[in-house]
Amino acid sequence: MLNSIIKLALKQRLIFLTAAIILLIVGAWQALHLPVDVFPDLNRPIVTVMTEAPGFAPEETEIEISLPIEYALNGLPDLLRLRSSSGPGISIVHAEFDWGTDIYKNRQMVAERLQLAKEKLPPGISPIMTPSSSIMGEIMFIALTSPSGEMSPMELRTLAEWTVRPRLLSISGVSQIVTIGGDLKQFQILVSAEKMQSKGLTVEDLKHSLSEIGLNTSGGFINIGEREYLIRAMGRVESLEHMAESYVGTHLGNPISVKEIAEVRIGSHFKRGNGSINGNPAVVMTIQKQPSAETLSLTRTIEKELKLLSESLPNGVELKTDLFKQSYFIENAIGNVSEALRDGTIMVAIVLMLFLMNWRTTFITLTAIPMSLVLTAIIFHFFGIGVNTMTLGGLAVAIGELVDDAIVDVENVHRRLSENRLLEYPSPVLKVIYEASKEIRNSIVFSTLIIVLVFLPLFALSGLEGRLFSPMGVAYIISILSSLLVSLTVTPVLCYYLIGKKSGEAKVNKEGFFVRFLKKYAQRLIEITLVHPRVILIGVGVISFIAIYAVTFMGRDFLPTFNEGSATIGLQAAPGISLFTSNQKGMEVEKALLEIPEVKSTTRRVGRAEMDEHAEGVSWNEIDVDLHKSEKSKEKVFSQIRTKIKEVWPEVYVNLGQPISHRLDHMLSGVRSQIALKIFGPDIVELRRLGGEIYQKIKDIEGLTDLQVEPLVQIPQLKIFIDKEEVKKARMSAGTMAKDLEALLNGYSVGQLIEGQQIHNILLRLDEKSRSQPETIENISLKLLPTGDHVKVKELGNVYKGTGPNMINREGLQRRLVVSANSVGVDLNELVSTIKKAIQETNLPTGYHIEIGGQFEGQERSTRQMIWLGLLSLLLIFLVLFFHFNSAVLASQIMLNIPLALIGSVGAIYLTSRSFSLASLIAFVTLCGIASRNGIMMISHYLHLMMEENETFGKKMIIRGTLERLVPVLMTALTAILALTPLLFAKGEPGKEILHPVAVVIVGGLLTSTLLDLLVTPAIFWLFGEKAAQKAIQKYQRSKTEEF
Amino acid sequence: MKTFFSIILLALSFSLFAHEGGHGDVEDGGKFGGVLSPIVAKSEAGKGNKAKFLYKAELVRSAAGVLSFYIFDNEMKLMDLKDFSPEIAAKLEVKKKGKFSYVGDFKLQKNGNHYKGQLPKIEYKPFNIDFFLSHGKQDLFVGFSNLD
Repeated sequence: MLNSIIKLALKQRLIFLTAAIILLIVGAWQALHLPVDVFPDLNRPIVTVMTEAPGFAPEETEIEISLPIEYALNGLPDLLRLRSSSGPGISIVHAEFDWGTDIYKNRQMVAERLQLAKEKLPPGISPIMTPSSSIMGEIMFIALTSPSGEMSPMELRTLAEWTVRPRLLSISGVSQIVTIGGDLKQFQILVSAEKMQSKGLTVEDLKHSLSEIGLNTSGGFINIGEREYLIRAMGRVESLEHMAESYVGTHLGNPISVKEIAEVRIGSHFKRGNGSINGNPAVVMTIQKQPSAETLSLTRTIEKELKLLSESLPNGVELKTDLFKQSYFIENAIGNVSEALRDGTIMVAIVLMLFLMNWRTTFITLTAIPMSLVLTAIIFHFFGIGVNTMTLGGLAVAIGELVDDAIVDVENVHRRLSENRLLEYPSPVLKVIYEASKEIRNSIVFSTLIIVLVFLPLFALSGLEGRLFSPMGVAYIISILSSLLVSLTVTPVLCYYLIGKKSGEAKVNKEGFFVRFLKKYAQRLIEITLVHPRVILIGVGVISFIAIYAVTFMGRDFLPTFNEGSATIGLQAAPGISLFTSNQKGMEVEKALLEIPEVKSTTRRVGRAEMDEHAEGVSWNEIDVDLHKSEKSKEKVFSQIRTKIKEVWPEVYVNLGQPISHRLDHMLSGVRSQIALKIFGPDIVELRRLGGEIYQKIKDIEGLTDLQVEPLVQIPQLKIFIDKEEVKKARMSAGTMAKDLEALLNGYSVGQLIEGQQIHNILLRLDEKSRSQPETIENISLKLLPTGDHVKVKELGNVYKGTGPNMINREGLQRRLVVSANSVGVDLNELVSTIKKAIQETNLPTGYHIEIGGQFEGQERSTRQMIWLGLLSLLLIFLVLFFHFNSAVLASQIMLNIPLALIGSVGAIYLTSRSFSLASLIAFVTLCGIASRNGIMMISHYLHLMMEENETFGKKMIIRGTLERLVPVLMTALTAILALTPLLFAKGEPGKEILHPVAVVIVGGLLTSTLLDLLVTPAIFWLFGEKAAQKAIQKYQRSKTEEF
Repeated sequence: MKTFFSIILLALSFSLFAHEGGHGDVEDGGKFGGVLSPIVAKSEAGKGNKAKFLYKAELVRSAAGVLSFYIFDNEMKLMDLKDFSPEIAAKLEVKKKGKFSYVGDFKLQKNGNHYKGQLPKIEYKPFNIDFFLSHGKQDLFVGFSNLD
């Protein structure tokens, strides 16, 4: 069939050529319109259920809300992990589903189960699913400020909530905008406990009268005459004055209005978070995208809308848009990898020109690159694959190999045409080209097949690593297969037009100086090799063994560190700190950070914004730092950041990372760190104690940084203990008393006030004077007795300053505490085994256990998988070779290239990072395929010489075969190596972080496998190849006889 | 009889130190997630915040009422207990109708790097615990208040 394709292409050459040109144009257009992102879709389907429960303590939130929701969701199909955080007044449950499941189906299942859970939740509590977003969903920050102070924090927040947010939410692709900072406007009725008592009013009176403070109702329709009228009762309050004048009860027969017992005012919604930019107060808005939205185009659309918006903003307001943007990293990373692709192509062109010394053959060979790339773009478009650093990386790795098939074909056609021209009766050019292409067709197809097969097991990689590397493999395979198709169709056609139609002068195939030079020295070397083949084999065997042994001493990392051009700083102060202090200290840190020249801007969020799906306390500051491009290394800048923070806020715990890396860690283990020691058990206090014990045991381990016991600690609480006996005596129930106290102290919404298009809540609660001290709370009247005496809180219980947990986290239906850490300057794997040793003697009570997670978790799993998949790849290579050569001996000889490649790979890693990452392992599996190619071409040619050109087995044949294959072998290897050099010398550049170790392994491996192959393959074929070769020839001759 | 009188005497002696000092507000969380309080010389227990803080104690109470008692130096480094008394005497008081009253005592025993013991069942909240221990020849006191 493949011969028919070559024949058809040569017969219909004009049609094929035209089709190729059309494909080039269409493919180029498609390539420019493919969706662009920094990474492939790494989203694990996660459904987040958020429940606001004002006034609930963490223990109550956990038991009454999180637990029923967890039980309801448990057992859902494809559910991998359930996590929850229960904080003061907030429960957040994350349901993590298996990769590849449909998020919308998952959401539907969660919604169904939530209906069941609702029955078990306290009255008035209703859980909601947060909008679906992606791991890299936070695409940009914007902020509203008023540098002149013309606009108050409340006016800024109102502008953000009611003008900016709705405009941006209407953009297709924006999923959520979380606003933090400023003052959220609220209408408030702040009751004085003292005045309430003097007027003889009780909590019950307030609740009853003010719950109907203002309502509009409908009386249905009536017909008057021939017209229909809608009846409306207009009781809604429309101003502060209306609220102040509202009736609240009766005292000594006189009606009492709200203003007599309360202050009515516009105030700020109770704050649990705040924001700032560059150390100045601001309303910070985080824009999140939908999972399917394309970041770059969405960012551009948002920017356009923001430009329009800023023109219509009131005087004195500044809309800051030059803060963190994910698109900066994407553009930078994609630009860098595209540059690598371009530079790789230039390198390939130089190598081709150097070897071929003929612009026509160089042109034909080079055509394979754009043709293969546009074919890949068309297939990408067809399958909905986008452009990202990994798919571009796959192409960058493949770029040197895209010309391989064409090189082999062109070289052979060129040689055969030259030989043909020397003949007395030359054959027709088309026939020569066809025969020459057919001659090398088998080795091209089989070597490409091996490269493809080697990659196939990589698609079995699970988890994040699978999502990350599969697109690289897809891009690589598609482009390599495209190049094979090009070499079977377009290359022979171009050969006909560009080198076949040349005047028929009998010109000797004159080689360039460089090739002649190489061949001269290669011949001398091979001659020596064939004299001492055993010495060569033993020497190479020893070096291979040393390389394998050296691997065991190398460090291991999961993924290389990214260079995102920005930093995410988590600052955890001691829980119990007030929002005011935490906010002030946070702003001081920001100002200190801005003194570092590399820091471009800072955006800070402290605590939790309304609608935020994180249950962070006010002790948590998160600063996103945008960095200038700088000569200084990322590590140096980060170290400066740490120093600055410690100068300003020495006692704060710092977790320093980068936005995307942090989120990847979070997705892997639910924790934002490389190492997560998760302690599970029923009692939060015991978990905290065990956390402390483990901290003590590992705190001095070298290479451990950012060590932190999850701050699930005791925070100050003002508690009211209700004495059941006393409450009974007062003819009350403990529940009623608790509810009354909640209404007075925490407050509740008694209605809404509408201002134009804006809806604001009306809050009723005690004023600050009445609720600020334990003593004033003790004197709150809960009931008026018929005697006229008031029943006060202090008579029914104790008000005291105690402590309680700030938050309770759960995972897999169990309470969980995490001791987290990052590694610095040491191998992650080694560090984890040291930790394991240190904690193995921890005495765990019954019902408690420890799990180690984080990046380490993914690394262990992926290394295990890669070892098995690598073995499977080797087996596949062997089977393909065996099928091709019909000889296990010849297949094994070719596979000897693999240990030869290992020598170079290990050497290259030793010279660079000295650490094996998942990317290195994947690169090595890829290398197995590429390296085998050299052996295939060499041994195939030996057999060809014996079968078709009457050569006999011997040193002469081996030397001739090796020298004839020297040029294509060196060219294919050199193009592959030089195409990767832009990645090789770009360690740590954005976008190339994962591709750099791939380049290191492939370049190192190809160097040794190519050079040693020229020594080892002839030697081993000379020693062990004769019998296998004779057998292969006999088989070939038998099959030829059968053809006739 | 001798033992009985000794217990009565010891119990009475506790009231000398009750809530006159050494308690103060509950401090920030400790290294093991519990609450911290300063350890002072027993003789200075009545001086309140003016007493010299010798060490720090962290009290951790599990849901089952198991108490773990850790001792730190002033730099919050966990201390070796070899020079401390093998057990700690503890006195318990609860708040009822605004006043604290004595309800009983219990003991904590040395357990590796900390002391351990069982808290008696308590109906009312909050409650205070006073601990009495010694370091070498020095008698020490530490009080935890408003526990629940």
